[in-house]
Amino acid sequence: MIFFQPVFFAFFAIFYPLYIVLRRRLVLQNGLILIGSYIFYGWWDVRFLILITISTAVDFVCGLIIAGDRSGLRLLGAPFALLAMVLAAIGVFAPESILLIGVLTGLGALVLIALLAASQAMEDAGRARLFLTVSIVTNLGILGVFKYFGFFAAEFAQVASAVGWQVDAITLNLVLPVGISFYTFQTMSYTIDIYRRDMQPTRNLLQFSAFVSFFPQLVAGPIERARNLLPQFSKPREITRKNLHDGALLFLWGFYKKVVIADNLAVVSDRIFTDPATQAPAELLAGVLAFTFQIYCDFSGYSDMARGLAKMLGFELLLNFKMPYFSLTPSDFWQRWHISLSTWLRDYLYIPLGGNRGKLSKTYRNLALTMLLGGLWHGAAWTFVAWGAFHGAILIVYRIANIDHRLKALNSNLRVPAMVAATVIMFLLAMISWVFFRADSFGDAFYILRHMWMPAWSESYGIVFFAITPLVIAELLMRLTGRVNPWDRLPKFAVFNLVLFLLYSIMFLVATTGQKFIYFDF
Amino acid sequence: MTQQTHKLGFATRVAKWVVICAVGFVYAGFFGEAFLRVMDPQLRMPRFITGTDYGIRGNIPNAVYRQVTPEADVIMRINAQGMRSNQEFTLEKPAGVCRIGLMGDSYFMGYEAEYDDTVGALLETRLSDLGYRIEVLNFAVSGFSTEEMLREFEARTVNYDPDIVIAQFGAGDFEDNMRPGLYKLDAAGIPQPTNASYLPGVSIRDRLMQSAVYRMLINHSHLYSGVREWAGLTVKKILTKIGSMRRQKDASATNAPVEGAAESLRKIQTRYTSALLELSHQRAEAFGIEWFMLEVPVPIYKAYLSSVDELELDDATMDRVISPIAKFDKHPRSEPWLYREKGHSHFSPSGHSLVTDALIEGMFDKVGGIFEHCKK
Repeated sequence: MIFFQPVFFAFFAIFYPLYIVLRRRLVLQNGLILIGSYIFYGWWDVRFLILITISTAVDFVCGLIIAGDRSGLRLLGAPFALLAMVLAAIGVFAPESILLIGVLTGLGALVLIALLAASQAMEDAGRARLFLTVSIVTNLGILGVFKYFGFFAAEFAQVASAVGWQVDAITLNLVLPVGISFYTFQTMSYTIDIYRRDMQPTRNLLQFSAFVSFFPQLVAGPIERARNLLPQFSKPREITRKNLHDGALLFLWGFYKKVVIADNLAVVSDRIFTDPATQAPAELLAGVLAFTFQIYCDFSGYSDMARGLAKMLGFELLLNFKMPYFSLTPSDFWQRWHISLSTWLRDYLYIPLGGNRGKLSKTYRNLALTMLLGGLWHGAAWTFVAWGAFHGAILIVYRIANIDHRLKALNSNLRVPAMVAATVIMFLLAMISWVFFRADSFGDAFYILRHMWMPAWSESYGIVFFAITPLVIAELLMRLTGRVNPWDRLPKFAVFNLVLFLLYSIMFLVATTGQKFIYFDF
Repeated sequence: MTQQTHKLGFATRVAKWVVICAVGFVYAGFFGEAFLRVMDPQLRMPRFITGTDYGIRGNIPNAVYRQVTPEADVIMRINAQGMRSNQEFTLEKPAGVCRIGLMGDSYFMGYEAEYDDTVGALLETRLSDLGYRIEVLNFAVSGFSTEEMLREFEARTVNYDPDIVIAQFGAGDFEDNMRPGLYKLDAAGIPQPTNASYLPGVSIRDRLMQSAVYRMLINHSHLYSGVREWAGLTVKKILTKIGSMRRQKDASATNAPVEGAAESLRKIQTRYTSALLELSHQRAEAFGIEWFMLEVPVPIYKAYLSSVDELELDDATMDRVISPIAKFDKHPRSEPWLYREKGHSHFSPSGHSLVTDALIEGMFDKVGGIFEHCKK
């Protein structure tokens, strides 16, 4: 189910009163979150639940073993019970798949049991390394099979045929489970943090499984760190009037960004990216501009809704976007865009690769590798890789030219015009990068980039400017006044007017054809 | 004493909140009105609909109201018999006059067009110019489905002794026919009338119409128009869903010609609509009335799509179908378009004019000497 569908509102209308009633019973409330989250996720396809349960069970067990728990096979009781319950649910709702899923899960369980038994004699460090590997292989394995197998099989067959070796690409006809990249990254961070001694594992499977599947942020982030979110499941949440007020406003703001701005802009961007060769140059530029704001409002809208819902439940999630189109440089951009992913990549990829320690050439290599993999994380297509490569390249160029430092060192007379110019340049670079991200092929991307620079008016600009003006005004005010949300420090009457504006916009300015969230496919 | 103070305090607090909510509500209304006027001016197309004693909707007799869209500012006048017309009609047909009954929805009613530009008025004047004495009785009501047209025909149209009836058919009728439940297919697949009424929202609307404030709102308020449109579409969707489920259930309970729930909903809609149109034709013939069907093409990017091909009509009924698509296709693209582009896509005056030409040509072509007995 999706946040703006009636079925979600029906779900939440049942869930929330129960949640409030159980506010003094932590175990029951966590149980409700787990059941609610599984219903939320299983609504797409009940079979998806097995993947998230496997990820939960494996990381729960691995986390304990990595931390030195020697309970051995006894550790498996609770996670196996959870797996059995999910398998039973699949048996009821998708009986045609139960045999295959059951056999594969059973084999996986046997492997885990064998590894546990075999590792009893190992020393602690060796066991920790082994089970960190098990966790990473399981999560990346799920991700690799479901998200990247088809892509790499097809690419392999193509390369093979190019060298005269005819191979039929193996196709598994797998459905891409929504949000798979988000929760696999989230659970991996848990075991890695334990291995690094940055956090202690939990012995409470209910809290851990509720953390992994927490429905507000399950399918499109923010990618939470266990050390931020998991402790919030171990103590009673406070639902204050302020939480409700701020949460509802955040949800409404995100809802507006998604259904009013992003979906209306999609009408323009879809047209030009579907068949760019038939579009006038002015239309191409309008389409790229539309997509630049569409992707932002689509994704940050979801994050706002997720954070708003979580706040209403008494949780605090990470801030995922901080007005990214006001960035001055690429490194500034990545501190403002999809912050939970960029910090994940920084902490678990860039720094382990060596970060900016050592030779400059190594730093550039690390940046390039991190951004390439960041691109690939978004989807199995070379255009995503090119998007990552483009960002890697501009990060390196800005670093070589030392632009971040030079901007900070400017004297006060030059500072404002230089910052405005830097913002405009960074915005244009971001726009160019989105062409690779959205285009169906490199041919389309290069065609758009060659032809879009003609300054001419098109009616599509009217749609784009009409949609983005309230957002630009709000974010400009936020930027100038240092607010995090548009309603911060506003008098009650002004907030009331803002709410009316958002509600009427959602009611009357919503696009006629609703679009699903773009980041669900990542 | 303390308890009394407490009670008073509670009452004051409640009263304060009631006042705040009331003021907030009224303010929200004014805010919405201003918001829509600036951000998204609404089409103001009020419907003056009431219930009839034969269980379906009808135009409010003697109503006069205004429709405002970016392309049209039109006064709608309904006569005392609930027809869009500038004249009244006697039940008894004047001697030597041919009567044409129009059965349809807002297209035949001439929404977004001045009366003189509508199919009804144009048929009358153009046939009169050709030397025939003609009265056109417009029985169309906005929102009508084929089911409602059929009941209107049985309950009212025949009483006016028409020589010809023209039933309007459009792509929306497939879904529209799922809602009312005025007919039900028998085992042989023939629609049989039920005792059901179909008066969605009519009693509420009748009560509201007593209020001068409501009448002012429906004529002038953008907020009202927007909310009504939004609520109307939502209710329509829900009723279609419920009706479709009912029809699917019926289909699974009968053998022919709608055969079981395995068939797609669209198939059920197609067969049911076809059966209603065939019945409409047969009933008209039974009264000695010439029956024709006008197809309303679906406009897509200035091209016109037919929905008739989807119907499964018998040959006799298919032979009475008149389509204006050939004429529409010849209409120069540089000329004003045949549908209202910024309104609700009803016919523009050019559209009404070409439809009228198609109808006159079609009627003469399909039935030789059709108007001979009413020559001046």
